[in-house]
Amino acid sequence: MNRDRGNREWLNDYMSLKQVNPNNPFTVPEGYFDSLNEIILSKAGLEELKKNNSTGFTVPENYFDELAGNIQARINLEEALDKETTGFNVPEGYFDELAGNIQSRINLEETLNKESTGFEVPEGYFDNLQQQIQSRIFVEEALNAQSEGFSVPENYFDNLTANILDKTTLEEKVQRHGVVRKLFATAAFKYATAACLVIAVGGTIFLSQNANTPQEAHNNSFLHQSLSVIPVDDIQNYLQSHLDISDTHTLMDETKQADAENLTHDLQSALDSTSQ
Amino acid sequence: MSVQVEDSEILRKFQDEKTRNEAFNLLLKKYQQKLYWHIRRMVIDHDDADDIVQDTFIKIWKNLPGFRSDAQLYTWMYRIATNECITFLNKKKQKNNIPLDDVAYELADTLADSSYFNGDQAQAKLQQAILTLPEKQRLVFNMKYYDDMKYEEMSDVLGTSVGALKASFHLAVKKIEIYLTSRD
Repeated sequence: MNRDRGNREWLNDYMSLKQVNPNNPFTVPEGYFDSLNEIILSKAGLEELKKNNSTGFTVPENYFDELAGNIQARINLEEALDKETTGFNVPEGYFDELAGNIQSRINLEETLNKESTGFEVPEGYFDNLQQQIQSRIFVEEALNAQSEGFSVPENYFDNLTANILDKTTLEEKVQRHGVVRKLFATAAFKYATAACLVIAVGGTIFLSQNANTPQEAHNNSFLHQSLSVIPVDDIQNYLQSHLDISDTHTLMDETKQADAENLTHDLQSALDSTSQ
Repeated sequence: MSVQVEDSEILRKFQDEKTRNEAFNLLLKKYQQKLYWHIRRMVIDHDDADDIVQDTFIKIWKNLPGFRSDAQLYTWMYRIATNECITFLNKKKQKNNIPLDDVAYELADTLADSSYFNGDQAQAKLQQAILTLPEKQRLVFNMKYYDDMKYEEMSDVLGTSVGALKASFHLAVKKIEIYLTSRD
């Protein structure tokens, strides 16, 4: 930048300074001043917008004037609240030891709960207990309510004791005159009688069953009696046409016991007998 | 060469809301380089000067509606720019927690490393000499040596009497001379 030379005679007194090139030694980026105009104008426009408060937001009157005071008052209040004591005190070091004490208590409680008292209850007992109690109460109340429908003669309970004593005393008096025991009234006799009857009936049945031989038992069976009226030829024809392996086994098992040594002969005999 | 608009004309246009932007535009074109260089010589670094000149003109924009016409517009704007520079340098001192002398050393380092300085060795030495001066003497010397401002105008800018400014200037020049001669 070249300057217009003004009155610079004073430089004559300062030769070293006079020898220095008075032109501006500083430079700027290329095009800087061209863009500087636009930048400043844009910023000025933004300032104008801020000034006009175009955001539309407003605050109550004197808000910002009072804001600093309100903030300070709030700070003071917060500090006062922090310092305030509720009047309650705790022993020294209480909160430091509290966590440890709680943990010890928890451990103790767990240990006590684990200890077995030797008593047990059915599974789910306590879960249902309340409901059971309530049901019982309901039943009891219902019964009590029902019993209210019954009545007794006047002074019944007052006289009951005396009546019972009278009766028992009278029986004792009668018994003193002689021991009379009823043979057929005692409970022991009744049980003995019942036992004898059972033995008699059971024995009869047992003996009657054992009296029959297998052959007699078979002859007396319903099957035999039913088949006896059917001709033998008809039976044989039926067996021949409808015999299968299971029938063979059944016949073999039921006719006679196989002789292990003569199994083949016995089998053939069985087959022959059925095929005939 | 464009015809410079008179300050009175700029102020008149600025008062009218319709022509306010036009007036400000004229103001920018007329004074932006002067204010920029004034600021640049104080803070040395181009980027710092860029920030400060923008802040200066924004302040001018905000406060121009209240400007009293009996004062000179140019000196009024210079004062705003000067105050912005002093504020910046004080902040730099507080931010780095260093005394003002060390701020001068920091500026000298900036000068040495600056890519936007194409002066010769003598000019570089002169700048270093200027940086050794107290803040106010730097301002006086720069306004007198580089801007050829009258003492009365400097008095309006700095709020100091003409006599004090003269004394300050001569002290500054002597120091610089000694600096230049002693380190040849």
